[in-house]
Amino acid sequence: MNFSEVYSRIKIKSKNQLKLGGGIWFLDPPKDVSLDGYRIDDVIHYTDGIILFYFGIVVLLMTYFVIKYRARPGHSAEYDKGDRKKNVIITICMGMMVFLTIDVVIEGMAFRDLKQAFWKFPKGENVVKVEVMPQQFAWNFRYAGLDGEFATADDLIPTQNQMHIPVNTPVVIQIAPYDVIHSFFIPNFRVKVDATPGMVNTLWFQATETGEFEIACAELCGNSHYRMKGVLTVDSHEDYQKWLSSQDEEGEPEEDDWGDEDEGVPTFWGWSWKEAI
Amino acid sequence: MTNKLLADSHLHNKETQFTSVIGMIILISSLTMLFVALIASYGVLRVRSVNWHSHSMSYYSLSIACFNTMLILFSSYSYSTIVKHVKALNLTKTLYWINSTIGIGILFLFLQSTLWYLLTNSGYSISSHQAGSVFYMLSGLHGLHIIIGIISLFWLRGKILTSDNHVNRAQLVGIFWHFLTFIWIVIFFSVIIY
Amino acid sequence: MHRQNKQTFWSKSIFSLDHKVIAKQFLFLGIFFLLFGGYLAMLMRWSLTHTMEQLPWWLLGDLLYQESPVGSGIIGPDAYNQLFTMHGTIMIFWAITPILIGAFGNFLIPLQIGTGDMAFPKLNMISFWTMFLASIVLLASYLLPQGTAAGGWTAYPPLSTPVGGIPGSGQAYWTLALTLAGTSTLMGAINYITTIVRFRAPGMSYFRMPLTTWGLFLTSILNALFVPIIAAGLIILLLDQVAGTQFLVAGQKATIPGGDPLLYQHVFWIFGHPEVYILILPAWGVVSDLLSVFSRKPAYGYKMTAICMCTVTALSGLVWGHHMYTTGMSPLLGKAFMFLTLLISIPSSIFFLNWLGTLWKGALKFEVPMLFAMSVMWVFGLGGLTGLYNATITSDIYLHDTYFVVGHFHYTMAASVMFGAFAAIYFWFPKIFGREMNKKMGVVHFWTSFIPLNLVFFNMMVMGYAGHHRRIFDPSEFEFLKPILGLNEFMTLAAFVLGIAQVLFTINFFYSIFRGKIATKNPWNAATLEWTVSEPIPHGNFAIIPEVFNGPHEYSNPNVKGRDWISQSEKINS
Repeated sequence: MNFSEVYSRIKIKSKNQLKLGGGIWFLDPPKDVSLDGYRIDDVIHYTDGIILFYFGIVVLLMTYFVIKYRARPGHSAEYDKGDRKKNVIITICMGMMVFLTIDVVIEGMAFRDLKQAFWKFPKGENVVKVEVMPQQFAWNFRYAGLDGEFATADDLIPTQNQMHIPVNTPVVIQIAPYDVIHSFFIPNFRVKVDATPGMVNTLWFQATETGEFEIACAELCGNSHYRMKGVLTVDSHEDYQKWLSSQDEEGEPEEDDWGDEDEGVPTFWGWSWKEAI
Repeated sequence: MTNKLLADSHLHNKETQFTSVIGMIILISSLTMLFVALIASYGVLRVRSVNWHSHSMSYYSLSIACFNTMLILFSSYSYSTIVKHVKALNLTKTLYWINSTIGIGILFLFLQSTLWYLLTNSGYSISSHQAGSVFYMLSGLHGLHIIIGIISLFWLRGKILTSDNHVNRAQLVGIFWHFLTFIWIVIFFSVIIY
Repeated sequence: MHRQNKQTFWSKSIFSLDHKVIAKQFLFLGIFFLLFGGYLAMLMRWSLTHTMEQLPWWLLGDLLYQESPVGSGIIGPDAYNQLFTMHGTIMIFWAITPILIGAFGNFLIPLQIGTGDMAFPKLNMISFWTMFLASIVLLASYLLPQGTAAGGWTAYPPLSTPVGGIPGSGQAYWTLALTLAGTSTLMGAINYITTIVRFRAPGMSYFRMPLTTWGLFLTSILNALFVPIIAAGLIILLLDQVAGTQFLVAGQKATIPGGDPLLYQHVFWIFGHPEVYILILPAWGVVSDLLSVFSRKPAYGYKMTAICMCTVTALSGLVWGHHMYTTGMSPLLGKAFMFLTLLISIPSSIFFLNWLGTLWKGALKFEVPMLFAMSVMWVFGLGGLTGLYNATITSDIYLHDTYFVVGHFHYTMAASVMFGAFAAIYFWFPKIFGREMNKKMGVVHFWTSFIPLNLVFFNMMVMGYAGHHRRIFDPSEFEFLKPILGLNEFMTLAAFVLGIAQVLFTINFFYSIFRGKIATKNPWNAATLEWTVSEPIPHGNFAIIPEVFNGPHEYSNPNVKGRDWISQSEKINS
């Protein structure tokens, strides 16, 4: 059974439409300004509601049991081992009901969202590509320049801790760290991807509003992990073009650039964009 | 020394013998998981690497390794002879073969150290490349367990001289000893030869 | 004390071969580290709410942080990283494992299955002293000039290798200590499995064993299979740390090409996920048994519960990838892990329902062990359910490496496992020490632990949902964290109350060992075999090996006249 197809019939258009369990988490997450972040909020809220329902039943039952079945003179326990066929079947059915109403649903929602959004990487001319290289303890961002190719002379000089993207445009990032494992986390976009040395990971997202948003490192990377902050600026299209043209080009790579091509490590710190996605 | 010491071993309780065999089986399962995890890690590293420095040991080192492989196989044969003589209640021959197996074990370790020394001096060290790291890690860990095996052989020898119930003890130590032979074969073929 | 063949002090108490003495040794070691690990948590809470301020005298700031590079008595970012690293490591491997598995495993298994001692008493003794050696190595890292390990209890490379920049050899000491601790656990596992398989008393079939024994049995199987895997990971990590290899180092800083940091994560979590089940299976078993004792009613669906525990045990080895969803693994693999992880809900919810079934129509006695056992239902219910958010890939993308995960695992590990351990301690104390613990203090301990615990860890989940990421020394660096910081003060206060409650417990525990009211043979009227022997339990436990006629939960059997229980080794006259 294809869960994605079943659950794609649940059309979710606006954000927080499924805030069934709203109120358990009395602090709101950062404002979601991404195209697909609502999907994550929705699966969380669905889980909130259904968990509240079942846990609520458990608490009510336990309270009832504590009162009704407390030991007192004249009251004795019933000798029921619960191992008759009837008991077993009812218990298994109840367990399956929990499984079907929670697990199967959130699994379906997740499969649908992964297929429709998170693993459906955008292609085309207007996609903005950025290479991200976190290090101890800063974020480096590299843009491809006018030729659209990375690891060429017209790449922009990498910015540190400043990332700019245009609004309403799909952005694909590829990330590989310089030293240890880091993790690229933008709370306002609900996205996160690890940066593991020796690997290049890919992530995409799209902003729906302009503004400045924080990037945090979500994998312990050393003693200043706690202040490894980047700023993502979402510009209007004009402002983005202005920013691009204000950046300098990198020029030809130096002789002693990091890395060694023979051993599979990229020549500049940038790498040739992995087109397989 | 008489053969009387060996004579009592047939009186040993079959129940408690089986208990110790179960314990040894669990130990061997755990050690198997350990070596499987290490060899799988080696596999992952090798498959994902761009350039694996296989076949870069000198022929001289390789021949020492081959000789050691045959030596350890012989030590398993030697060990099985110990068990045969224990069962036959032949104390003299039992001691002869235990001493021989201990000697073979020590010779194995000595040749391993020589191999390490030669390889390190010729540029195949633990930190020269991943293949080197894997080789030293696996052969080192195996060597540590061989040391434990040799200590067990000394212990077995002591027990044979001072008490009874040998067949079971000899079989238990044997499970461990043969396991180490098997592990070495796997290491030899997957890391050194392949 | 106990009679043995040799009566010297050394062979009787220090190097004793008696499982009951070894159990006490593990118990004392575990309680020591529980308090120490808890103290580290108090330091962390202080640092979070009074960042870069001098520690107060009652947290012993002057003693520990006098040489601190950021100022005497002040916890700096490096020290903070060391704190959460050691707190996690100590609580898991030096507190829970010795208490639940080392102490209760050792004490209960032979007694509950009706035999005289463990299968391999010498191995048992060596297992304790190996753990002791591991403790020395771990504590020795506190004396190092550059401090202890600071890479998190997970110690991901390359951070935990020299390339990562953590100064000193604390990280290497950590790796060595953990390898030794694992060796101790392995020895214990061999003993426990063999004893249960071979030494059950006549009539003690597998499905007549108490569920506590089932939990310990399944835990030992997982230990035997998966501890060697972490040992493998620790060996290659140790070599990277001290021998100049680079198995786990890649990227620009690697001088030997071909290393793979992700390899460590796989190896670690292949062990790591079964490890959390290793920790909780004994607690599940204890709770199942205790709910039955204090409801005066058989454990509902006993066989079903045992089978569900087996199913969870089997599945636990297949789901490790859910700790690694954000690492960029193939989508198919991710989906497979999510599916398998969610499957574990089925057996878990079935035996949870069986717990409810045990209470249903019972005659509930709210003794201290029962309070803790029932609270495990609450905290495991919450903890297990919140695991669902992390099992689902999409919600995990947001919640991974936030305080949400920290709240979730503290509910399942700190709360469920520890409350299970407290239930066990209060319940079996009369059998282990021959005296009773003070009930009033026990009730106070319960409420002053239960309520603050919920206040601390539920709020961690709230913080995590609000985006607060993990292992952060000073959250004030980020704007998006500012609305959350007020919660920190409240949580620290609750955490301090929780801490004081444990001090109260420790006082009750030690006072009762020496001055507690002398206990009767079976103060709880429990049916399992350990309650048929009197303190001081002789070496060899049973004068005559008992014959078992009944299951472990024969409470309120209508065929038993005059009382609401009958022991496993007594015949029911029907």
